[in-house]
Amino acid sequence: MPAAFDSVRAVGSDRAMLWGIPRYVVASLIAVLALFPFAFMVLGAFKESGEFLSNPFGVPAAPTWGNFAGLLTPEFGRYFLNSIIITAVSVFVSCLLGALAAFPLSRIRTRLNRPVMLLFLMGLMIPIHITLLPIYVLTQDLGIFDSLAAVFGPFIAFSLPVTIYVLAGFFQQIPDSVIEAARMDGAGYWRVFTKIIVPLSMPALSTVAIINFIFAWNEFIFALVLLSSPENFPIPLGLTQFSAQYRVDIPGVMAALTAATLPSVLFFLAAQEKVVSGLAAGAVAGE
Amino acid sequence: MGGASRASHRRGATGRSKKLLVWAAFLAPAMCVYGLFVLYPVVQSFSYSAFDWAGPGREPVPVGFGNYVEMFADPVFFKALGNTFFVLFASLAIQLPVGLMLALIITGPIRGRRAWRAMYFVPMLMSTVAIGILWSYIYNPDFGAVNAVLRAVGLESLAQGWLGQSSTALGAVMVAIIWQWAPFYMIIFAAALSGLPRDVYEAAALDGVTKWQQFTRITLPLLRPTVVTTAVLSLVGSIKAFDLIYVMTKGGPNNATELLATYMFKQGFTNYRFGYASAISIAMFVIALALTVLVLIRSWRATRGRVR
Repeated sequence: MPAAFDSVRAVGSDRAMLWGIPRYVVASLIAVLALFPFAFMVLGAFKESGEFLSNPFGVPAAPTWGNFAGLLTPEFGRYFLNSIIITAVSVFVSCLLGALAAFPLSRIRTRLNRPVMLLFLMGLMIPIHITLLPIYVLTQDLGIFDSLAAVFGPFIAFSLPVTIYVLAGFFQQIPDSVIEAARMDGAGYWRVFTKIIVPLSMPALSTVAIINFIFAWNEFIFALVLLSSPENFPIPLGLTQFSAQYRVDIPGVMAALTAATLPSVLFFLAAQEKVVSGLAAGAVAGE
Repeated sequence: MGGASRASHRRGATGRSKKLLVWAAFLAPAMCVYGLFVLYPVVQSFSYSAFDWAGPGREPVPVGFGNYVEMFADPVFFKALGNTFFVLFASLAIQLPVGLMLALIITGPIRGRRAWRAMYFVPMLMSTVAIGILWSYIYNPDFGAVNAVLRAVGLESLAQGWLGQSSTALGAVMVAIIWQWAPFYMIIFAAALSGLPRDVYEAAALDGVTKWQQFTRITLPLLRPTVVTTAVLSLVGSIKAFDLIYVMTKGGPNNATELLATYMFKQGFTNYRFGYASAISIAMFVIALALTVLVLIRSWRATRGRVR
């Protein structure tokens, strides 16, 4: 029997050999297509304007940090600061509210659980555009239009469906016996939540934090609609401003794009597995 | 003994209403935010769409179904609708297969899987705005990469202003959309592929099944639920597609890349026609709802059929 298996594997690996070379060729071609725009951007960021026009694609002959130095302006720093504030607040609050909501939906049995869960999942299907005008009017009425506070509400609300879905799924898998034991010791729902559910769910919480980070860091349309002064712009909106302002200085804009992308790259390099599995987990909520 | 049982009985009754109270208390904060910023605005958009309104501070004039009547006679609306469906079908027909191909590569027998995956993942690391600006440069008629490649291979006559002319703008934008989103579908398919049962493939290998048969007869049918998921994501995502188009073409030239999303934005925030813009957003909502329900019903029927 093991002999038969070995021969199968041998045939398999022969075939893999045959497949091997085209596989690497195709894989490399795709890698070129996937990386080319990124390389164009990073290489461009290190070129002088003149060199960029004569040699847009090659490696810079005389690499310069000058374009990055040009970014050290109060306005560009402001975009970064705004993005950090907006992202930090949205990620923290949506994880907190999401965890609070996922707990009853997964661990307190009521007849309303299914309909409420469906109501949240509907949010995945609602086009953001249908909420733009009402939210614009709402922020005007509340007097928070054109302030960072204006974008917190929609950012958090639209990240709740995925957050709740992923967390509820995870909470459900915590063994009943663990919770029963705590209840026997006289712990109420709040203690069970804070002392057992949350500490045991750190992997799931970090997953949703990553999904929400990617969403909030890159979000564009709510910022576009709800913010009007450049000093309140987060990075994506700042980039459109910057590229319009420095239309002719393409390497300068490329440096700005590179700087704006750097945090996500570092984040990804630090936690590749987590980011990938987090995105997959979040996407499955689409079912 | 009797007293204890009565006490526990009483605890059962008040316990149930206390349980519901605790349930509601935990849910309340999320429900408030979600209700205020997602559910209530949807309802409000329906009511806006019955008015002619130039925004806060102006008097809304009731027009009944007037905005919808106008919409169904508006050639730009139909242009935007057609373009939206183009993006939708192109996403389904190209993005998903490309995503699956990438997933097969990074889960297949290849050295350095993590490195390949990281390289393919790069587009996901950039914000849509950055991608839009970058691709506008790539399509630039003077220093853009597309024309440079064409000139290099002697197809100088094909070099053109890709985003500036109606005939090529939508296709050009579509390429950027696919570039951006293919890795996302790759990640989903890769997760599904690595969860497939090994023994089926071993049995198939014993039966001398070719690689292609293995793919069409085993892998694809097993991936069916994932295909449904990605199809829904891609459908809904296409209806929401906005950022990239807004940055690259703003719907132009001549509405060639106008989508429902960009047209709604233009009517609302450029022309300040809140009622008409709301009617367009309702159309987007209805289409998203209809497509999602359609795909889910089909997949539900299919799985039921298979169980039987």
